[in-house]
Amino acid sequence: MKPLNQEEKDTYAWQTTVPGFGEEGQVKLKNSTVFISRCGGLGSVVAYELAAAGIGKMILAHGGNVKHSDLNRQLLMTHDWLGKPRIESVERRLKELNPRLEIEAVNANVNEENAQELMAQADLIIDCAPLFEERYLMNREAIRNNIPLVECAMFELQAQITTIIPGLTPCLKCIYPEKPAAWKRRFPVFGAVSGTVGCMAAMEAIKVLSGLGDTLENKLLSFDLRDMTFMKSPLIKRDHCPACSGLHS
Amino acid sequence: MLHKVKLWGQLKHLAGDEYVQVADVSTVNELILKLAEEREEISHMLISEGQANPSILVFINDNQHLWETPRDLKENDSITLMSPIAGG
Repeated sequence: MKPLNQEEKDTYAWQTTVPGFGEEGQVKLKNSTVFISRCGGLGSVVAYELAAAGIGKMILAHGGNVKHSDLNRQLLMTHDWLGKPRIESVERRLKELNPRLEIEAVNANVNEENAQELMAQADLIIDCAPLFEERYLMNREAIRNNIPLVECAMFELQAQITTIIPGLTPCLKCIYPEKPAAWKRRFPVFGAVSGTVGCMAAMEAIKVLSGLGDTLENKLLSFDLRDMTFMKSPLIKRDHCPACSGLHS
Repeated sequence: MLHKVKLWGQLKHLAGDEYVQVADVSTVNELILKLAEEREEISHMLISEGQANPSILVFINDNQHLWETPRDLKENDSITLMSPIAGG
């Protein structure tokens, strides 16, 4: 593993003193590759926090151009980049924060053609995508390559997050066996909601990669910021899940 | 017996209520089918191919419950139904 240089030791001094993390944890982050799709309301915040935390490499997939309706929550998009590729704005903003970060920026969303190549080299996948077709592809690649997957989602003032370890925990198909027919690409939400769960996903990623603390394996954290209620519930791994039932712990 | 059910995600949004009440059912499966019958605005989410939709998460007293697993409901069970949500 590549060691920390002096600039990195200085940059991360506030977090390397966290008990259970230390410089050893920071070295693990530096030598890690995280795949994030997409970099919208959720993924922007996840990527920004992980860039700040010192992840070594990110593979980022997000298609399309910046629109006005992105700007209430997609914090890596800027007004001056309206009409231009979102992924360029993402890369630019992340590099401004952390020029040491290696970025593989892909101007496309996850699809059947690119899924395998995009995720094969990742140490961790973070699903921030709005469409279940994309989410199931990330679940499939996580299982195929035995890569942990952080799943986060939101709606209105509510959000959920869980961590999937292939073979050990329920996968996305265990949780949602069927694509919900009623789900719409556009839904009501505040940027503060995506920001909240995005920060949680980033912290979950740091824990998975460094071994710090307890992750949300086998548990679904659901919360409603309308009344600030939080619920952490055990999840069930389906015996006959078509995606993961062949895997053994 | 009257059961109070908490709705979450799109279920809550479309129903316009955080809590609904369902009477005279004894299992989780019956509860979902009756709720679909009584609340037309969310029935398309609760039912898939004539059965309870497996992608609706059911929690009883904060523990996940698969609707296809038989379980008798008790008077003070805390029941939550969550519809799938995603990123964006």
